[in-house]
This record gives sequence, structure tokens and C-alpha cells, in this order.
Amino acid sequence: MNDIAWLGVADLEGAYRTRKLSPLEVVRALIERIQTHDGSVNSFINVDAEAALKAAEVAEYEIFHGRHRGSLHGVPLGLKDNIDVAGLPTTCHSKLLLNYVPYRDAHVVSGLRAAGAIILGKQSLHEFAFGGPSAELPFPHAKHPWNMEYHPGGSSSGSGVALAAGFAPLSIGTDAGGSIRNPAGSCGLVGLKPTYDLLSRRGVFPVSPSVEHVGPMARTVTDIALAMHELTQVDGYSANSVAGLDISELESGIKGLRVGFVRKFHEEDMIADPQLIAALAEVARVLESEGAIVREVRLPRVQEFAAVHRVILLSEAWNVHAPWLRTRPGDYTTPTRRKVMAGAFLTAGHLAQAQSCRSVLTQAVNDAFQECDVLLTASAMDPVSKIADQAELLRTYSRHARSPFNLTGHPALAMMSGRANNELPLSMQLVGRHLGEATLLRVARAYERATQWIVGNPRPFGR
Amino acid sequence: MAREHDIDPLLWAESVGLSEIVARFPEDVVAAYRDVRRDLEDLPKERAVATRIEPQEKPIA
Repeated sequence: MNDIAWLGVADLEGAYRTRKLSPLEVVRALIERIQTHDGSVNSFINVDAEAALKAAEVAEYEIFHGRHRGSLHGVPLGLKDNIDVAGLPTTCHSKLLLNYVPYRDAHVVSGLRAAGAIILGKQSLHEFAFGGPSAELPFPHAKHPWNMEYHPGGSSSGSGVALAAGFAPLSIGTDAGGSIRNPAGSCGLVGLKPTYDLLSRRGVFPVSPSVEHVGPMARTVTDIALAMHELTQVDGYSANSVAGLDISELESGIKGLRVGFVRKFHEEDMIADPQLIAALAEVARVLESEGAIVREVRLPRVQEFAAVHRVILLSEAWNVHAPWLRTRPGDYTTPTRRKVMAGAFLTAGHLAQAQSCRSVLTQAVNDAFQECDVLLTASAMDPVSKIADQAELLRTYSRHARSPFNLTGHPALAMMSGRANNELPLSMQLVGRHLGEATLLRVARAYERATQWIVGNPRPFGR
Repeated sequence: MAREHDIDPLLWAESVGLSEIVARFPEDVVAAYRDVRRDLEDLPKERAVATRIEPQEKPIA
């Protein structure tokens, strides 16, 4: 089998069960691919080949002796480098944490190990999941594998790039303002920010604890669903834990489901690029043709959500970073220093006002779910930008509709919705009720099945 | 909100212990302040009114 690089979680599970492939064979192939090609896209900061090969040996023995634990058993994956793995550095892609080595796994990592997954290594990100591409970083920033002049999205940039480059079938990222969904949409993938605290944040370096989420990124909706099914079985730590997400209806289609199309976000509040407007209209048409009832839904202005989100995010980030800003400001890159110190100008009154607004905005989204099962919105408002075009990156980076759902805690998924004129992916976002991941994934899967974008996606670095 | 927040960003940053940033990266201080001002201008005001206790003109008792 020559195309190991492009097999997903579901493919690997099948290949292991039928003994067409072994975990050791897969891990060896992916490590070799990473070692050969990652130097041009910089998706990994640290590859722990020795531990991965050892874990693959154990998984192989167990699976081939009738002890297959589930869909993630023997599946290699990467972790954003703000998630602790015992004995490996958690750098957060920052000079400030180059020597930090945690002594225990993050809770989500313990869950992955219990499910038999194999950790390949730690993936690059925006500094502290906050900054952006910069020459001041201690490791080079990730590049889009479809076209290396372009930005792969962030902050879980390496996690997205590794998937789109065929280095791993699954990544775990974090999302405080769109950091899973942005690279997923930018790289032609699927990224899920689950309901707030559905997956534990313990052992994840905090950006802004009340808006931050841990979630999976993969090349298909099915792989996201399988990962969530496994991770929610073993999590059990967070306030919102459920005993195994039920994905039995994933292939049931969406006939009769009600989709609320929030056109206002990208057609009135923040005028999106015409390519994205057209792509979103086409998503609505596809969902309708699959049997969904699509109707327009209006929410408060996306700028209101964004401002409330930013005040909370910046206040909480200031709380985390103030000691280092006072003593080691030169160790931050310029983009991160500017962003995190903005919180210094906010007062308790601003935070209280933002929290008050937050509950009103959350209620507005909950009210929308009285009349629909899933929301369809823009994710990005613009096509992917070139890394060298800093002015365009700055202009477009805050133009999105992802942060509203960090604020409200609703599960939100971004995926590809077409190709832009620059041949890079366009994206869209689906949002579910609190703990409504099963329905959300069902809609995403119906769209994926109907459009099959993944079939036509480029395969960088060949098979 | 904008008037309430009409401050000198460098003095403010000094006052919260960011002397080293003020000395080495004053342009970052100004940029950060400009960004946060924009956020505060977009922060909805009327939505917070429902939970705000307005001052009484006369004593209640």
C-alpha cells in the first residue's frame, strides 16, 4: 500500500483489523515522510520517533492478538505544542518556554494513550496560540503545503499543515478564537471546536481559560467523529464530559433537519469576499438538496460578539502573561507582545461589562436554536493570504465569524467550501447546540459526502 | 467608553509595571492601546444596562 500518508483514522482502523497494514509500518512510513519533507513546511517542532515506534510495537502486538481498543488504536497523531506530554518540552513556540518540560500528560493526552493512539510529536503554532508568523520565533513558522507562499491559518498552524501534507491522519489543537477552525478551513481540512469543556483543558497552556477549547482536526468528518467518540469515552474530567459521543447517526442524512443560515454576518455586518459569499450560498443550496430545511437566521452583529470576546480574551491573557511582560518582554515576538499587553489597558469594569454582554449574546444564539438544529455561517471572510503580504494578513486576520462561538461555548466546525481563484480552499462554519456535536457532525458529513472536496485536494510531496 | 479611556498609554503602562516595555518597545505600547480602544468602541453598551444599578435621585428610605 503506497498511499499510507493519505489514510485516515477510519481507513487505518479497517486496515489494521484486516491486517493489510500494521501500526509499525504506518508509523515508520509517516516518520520517514516527516523527516524528508517537513523541513519545507515546518509543521513539527519536535518528533519523538523513538517513543512513537515503541508505542506502535505495543499497539501492533495488542491489535494482532485480538485486543483492538477502538478507532484510535495504533493511529499516529500530532499535538499542538501547547499541550503537555510528559517528558517532552511544551514550548508554545516561544523563547519563554524553551526549557519547560512537564512531568505529566495533559488530560487529553492521557485519553489518547488510553485509546491506544500513538503520539508522533509536537506541532508548531502561533506563539502562545496568540501571535502570528514572525522571523523572531525560536522555530520557523508553518507554511501552507498547497502553496508555501501562503499562510496556513492559525494558531494551530502546524497541526493543520501536518494533515494537509500527509504527515498524520489526526491532530489535536486548541481554539480560543478560531485556532482550530482557521487552519482547518485554510488547509482544506475539518476542524471541530467542541462544546466548551467537553474535552478537558487540564495540561494545556492557557491562553484565555473561559473561551479556550481543545478539539480534533482531520481530513474528513468521519475521522473527527471517530476521534470525538473515543475521546469523550475516556475524558471524564471536564464539567461537560459525556460518556462517549453517539455517532451512530453520522450517515443518516439530513432530511428534515433545520439549518439556520446566518447570512447577516458575512453580507451585512462584515462584507465578505464575493468568492466566499458565493461559496456559502452554494453550501446552503447543497444542504437543501440533501433534504435540509434552510432558513435565514439573524443574530446580533458579529462585531459585537468579536469585541466582547476580545475584551475577555485580552483580560484573561494579561492575567497569564503580566509577570513575563514585566520581566522578559524582549523574549516575546513583536506580534505576541502587542497582543498580550493590550489587556493591560482593560479594567475590571470593562471585563464586567463584557461578561454581562456575553450572557445576552449566548442567549441570542440559544434562542436561534429554538427554530433550527444547526447554524451555517462564514468562518473566514476572505481567501487565504500570502505570508509576505503583512498588510493583507493584518487586514484579514480579524475578519471572521469564529470567535462568537468561543464566547458562547457552542460547538463549531469549519471545513472546506470550495476553491478560491488562488486555488486555495475557501471555508465555512457549522454550529450546533450545546452538546449537539452528533447533529453537527451529521450535517457536516452530509455536506462532505455530497461535495467530496477531499477527492480533488492536492497531495503535496506525492503519495 | 472612549472618553473614559482617554489616557496616556505610556504612563498607564508604566503604572502597571511595564517600565521595561515602555523603555524598549514604546511603539508596541501605543499599538496595543490603539487596538484595545477599537475593541472598546465596538463593545455593546446598551446590553449591559439591564444589570446596572442606576443612582437614585432621592434616598430610597
